[in-house]
Amino acid sequence: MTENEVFTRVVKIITPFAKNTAALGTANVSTRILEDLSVNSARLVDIILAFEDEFNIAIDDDAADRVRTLGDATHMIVSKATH
Amino acid sequence: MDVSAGARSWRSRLGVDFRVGLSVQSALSRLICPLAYHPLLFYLKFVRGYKIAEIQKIRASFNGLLAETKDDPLLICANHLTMIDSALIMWSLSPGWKCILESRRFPWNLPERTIFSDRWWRTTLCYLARCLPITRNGPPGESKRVLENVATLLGRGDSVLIFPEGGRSRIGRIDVENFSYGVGMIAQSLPNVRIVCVFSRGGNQAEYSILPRRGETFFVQFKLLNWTLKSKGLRGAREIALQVIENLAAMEHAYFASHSSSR
Repeated sequence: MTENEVFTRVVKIITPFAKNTAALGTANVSTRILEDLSVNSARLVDIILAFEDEFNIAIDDDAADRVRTLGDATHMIVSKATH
Repeated sequence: MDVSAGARSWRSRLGVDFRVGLSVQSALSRLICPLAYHPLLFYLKFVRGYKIAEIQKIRASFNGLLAETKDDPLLICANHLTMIDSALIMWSLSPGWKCILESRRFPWNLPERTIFSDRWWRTTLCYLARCLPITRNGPPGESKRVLENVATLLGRGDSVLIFPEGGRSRIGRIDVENFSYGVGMIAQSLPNVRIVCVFSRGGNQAEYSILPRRGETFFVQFKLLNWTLKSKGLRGAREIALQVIENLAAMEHAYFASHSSSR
């Protein structure tokens, strides 16, 4: 699984939670999930759990806390999926 | 992402300075209560003309709930339509003088920070009304800090009032699609916490507002939730929060069923 493939799936997972749909069109690894995509912070739990289900990985609290951008999410998933 | 606080034991993580700060705020709020809460009650009753339907019956039931739950911490989860919901709930559950004497009857609140931070007197009022301000969609770490405070207070046997919807419902009904999992995170960290679902609504309240209209009569109902937990961690938090919101929605459904049939 390449980082590009993971990134695409990450964006797909986050899409239903993003209020700023215009920002999704130009999303890149630096796009901030809360600020740029206007995702409600209450929905972050759903996103983390969706990552776990989609990629069959376990995400611990500390790893989840470090995710700010789409790139952070992608790197974390790739890292966990390959270990 | 700041999503994880609930799966941890927070009580041990809160520093001494924060614990002392909470104790000072707790003591000051009880001292000032007669000067702050009672004038507010006067305003609600006699200036705005609000009434709580069957208030004596509600208070008697709440006394029974307090006796049943003994010293267990109470996490009060309520629906949210107006800016005075916290005061209305406190008023409906206990007489003012009892709130001064018994800490569990004077719940802590988690209001949106921006509502109270623009004027010094609002900030002071917020502090004395046992509020722990939280910034909606705020910086990572802040919500965790507030939840740590909440867990500490509950661990001391205090009660905390939370609006699981995170704000006043924009749809005028309980929003079962958009609610936070904070209540589940707190409950997971304190196994003896008792969750009380409180539903309140003015008879003429059509949608969310700042203040209900003058002369409004409020219907208030509460229920001790026997919550169950099958999963751990974040899934568990979501599971508990879902049970809370579904119970509130069921209470709302019952309210509309009985009030539409009685008209």
